[in-house]
Amino acid sequence: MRPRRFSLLAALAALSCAATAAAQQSFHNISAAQPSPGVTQVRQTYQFIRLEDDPTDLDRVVNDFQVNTTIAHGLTHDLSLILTVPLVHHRVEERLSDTESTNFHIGDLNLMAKWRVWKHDTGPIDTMRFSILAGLDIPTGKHPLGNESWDPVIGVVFTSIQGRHGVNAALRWKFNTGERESFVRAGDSKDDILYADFAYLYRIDPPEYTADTKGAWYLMAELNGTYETNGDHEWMIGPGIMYEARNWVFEVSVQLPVLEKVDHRPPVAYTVGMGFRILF
Amino acid sequence: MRFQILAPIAVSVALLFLSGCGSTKASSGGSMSGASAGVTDSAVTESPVTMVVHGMSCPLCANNIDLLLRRVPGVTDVTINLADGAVKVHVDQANPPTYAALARAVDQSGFTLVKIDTP
Repeated sequence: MRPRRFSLLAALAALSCAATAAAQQSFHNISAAQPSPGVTQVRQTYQFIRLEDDPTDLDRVVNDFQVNTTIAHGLTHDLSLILTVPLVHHRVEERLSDTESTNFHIGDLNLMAKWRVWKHDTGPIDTMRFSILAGLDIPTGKHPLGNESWDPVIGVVFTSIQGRHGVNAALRWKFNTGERESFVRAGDSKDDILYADFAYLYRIDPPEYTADTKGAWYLMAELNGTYETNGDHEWMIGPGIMYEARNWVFEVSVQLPVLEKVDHRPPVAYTVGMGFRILF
Repeated sequence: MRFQILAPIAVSVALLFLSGCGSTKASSGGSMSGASAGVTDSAVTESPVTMVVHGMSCPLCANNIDLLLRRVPGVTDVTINLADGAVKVHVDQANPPTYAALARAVDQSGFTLVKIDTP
């Protein structure tokens, strides 16, 4: 069997077992919620990412279709492990040389520990939580679908749910240990990167939970930013919608840039994504 | 090259073994939280027993607590009302769990047990 198909099967095999899914988590954000001990959560997102207006001489236009499979496993009541496996179809048009290349491969895996250090539950659905994140980007991808280095990641995340309103705020810092000069995606260079993610979720329906509530509709509004130590930074807004049932979730989101100062790679033009979280 | 192929497979397989392709018994231990009125080591004497739980936040969260409670030996069914935080646990009268076991399951699920209604 070809190695690429084998890697694809490995990623899809992770979908074969699932339990509950992460709650109150918007499309591009992390939340401070986590699975209970012995429980495994699986989530899969499908995202199209377009990069263009490359400021470098290469003048690249990039079209990526990325499937992220995320598996979170509860170890204790306040500690969980999260593995994210990205599968990327990557097409680059390089206008300088009038060439086009395509890659299809697993990107860099991310393994993250989430430790909830504080929670305060004030009502049947009202809660505030704070977690610390520590993880590692594992160089399973190859250029251009990874930066070929073991990169530590640390971060914090705060979640507050009060009635129909939910807020998530997360900061993560990745220490890039690689030396790659040429790259396409933010975070794949030799420079360190800060991810700042904020999300507001509003429960559209039902206005109040009842004993018969089977699911809920949410509007999501996200603000996602990156800052790299080479000076590049981008801020994206991301409206979306989510339906959350007792054992599955469906979500759709788009991202558009609101502020970009990118000199070393093509910036993001837009992203479109959808996701599922399923309980088998 | 070989590492790039084997690594995601190895990690995926390891996680599958961890999850056991299903639920495992929740680990014991962890401190009790919230007002633990009604939490004793005595066996549950009525069915259903009603607990009040805080922090459940959404339908999916309710699934977490439902799963952990159903793993407690003697629990036959769980119904959750997000409106008032009432978690009703139906038990096998011939082999009932203890109130402490139910309280531990709620604590392990990551929510706050406010009280257990006892007769």
